[in-house]
Amino acid sequence: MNTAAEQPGKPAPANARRIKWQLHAAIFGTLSVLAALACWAIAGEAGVSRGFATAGNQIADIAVQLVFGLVIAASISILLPRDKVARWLGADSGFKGLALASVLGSLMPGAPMAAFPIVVALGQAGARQGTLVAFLTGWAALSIPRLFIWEIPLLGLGFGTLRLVAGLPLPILAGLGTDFIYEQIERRREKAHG
Amino acid sequence: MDSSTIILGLIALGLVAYIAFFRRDKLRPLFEQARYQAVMVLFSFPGGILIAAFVSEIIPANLIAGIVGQESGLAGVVVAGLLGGLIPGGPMVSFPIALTIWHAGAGPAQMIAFLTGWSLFAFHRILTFEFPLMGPRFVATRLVASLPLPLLSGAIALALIASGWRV
Repeated sequence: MNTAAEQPGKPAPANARRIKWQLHAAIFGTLSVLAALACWAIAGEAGVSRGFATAGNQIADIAVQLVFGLVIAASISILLPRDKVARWLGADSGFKGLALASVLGSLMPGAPMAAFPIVVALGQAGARQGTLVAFLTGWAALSIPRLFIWEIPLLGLGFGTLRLVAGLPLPILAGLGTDFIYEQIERRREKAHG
Repeated sequence: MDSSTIILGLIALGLVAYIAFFRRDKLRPLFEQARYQAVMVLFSFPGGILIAAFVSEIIPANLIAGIVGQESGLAGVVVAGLLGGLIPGGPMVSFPIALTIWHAGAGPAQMIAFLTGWSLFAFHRILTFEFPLMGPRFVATRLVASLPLPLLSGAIALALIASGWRV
């Protein structure tokens, strides 16, 4: 499946785009209906209408940020020096690439609508999957912004620092695991094709 | 319009202005790229939020608190990691639940496993952004590589607490 991350540089041709669009609509339409049914079965009509109200508010709030996030990520993608990214985060960047990706990811603000398009941009510019996973894991699990916005205020400084220290190895480990898995896939592919 | 929206807007504006002045030729590709990715998340984005909203009406926060208290040790860490992975939504959803179990007596190591599980396996986010943009193989690989991480972070926290770390 040719996703944005696996197609270097260009958007997919119009036909491929239209087909994926309908598939997404079908999948998410079905899942939403299933979730609504489950909610109705367990929490009744009240639960469903609460769910709609919550979702409606969130969608409205996030939609604007999503647009900004997409523009930001597209700009970064356009401005990224591809050769530098390939060197720093690419196939040969090794452990240093993982460490750099982890640090960068952990500093990124929490909005997925900004982070994921940036990950796509990094991938297209030549970063390997392991560094992408290290970046995402740093962003999701280590998240310095979340530490200061949510965890320290709500759960305390002692908890926050414990959480930070306990989480430090996670992005690099996830990156190493990903490198390993992709290596195994490559090895199997080479064996199969002789 | 809250502060993070404004900040994002300013950053977006600044970047577009920079490209408009210094890299004029890249202005059109910029908007094409942004529009392409917008199409990719067009349905997954509201769909994912709807699903998360419905599921979060169903999850019983009170039951959870009994199972992941401080004395539950490594078992509690495992359970907490799994539970965290089931929590849909952003911090607005997960932190109220986290606070509930925190005040009901969950241990700090279990909390860390919970938050790690939530942050890594957020299925709503996988559905809404990661799957459409990165593809099934990337998602599957990241999930497999991430499976041990909630347990690991909880175990590290347990070890630190055992050797005297005060929360």
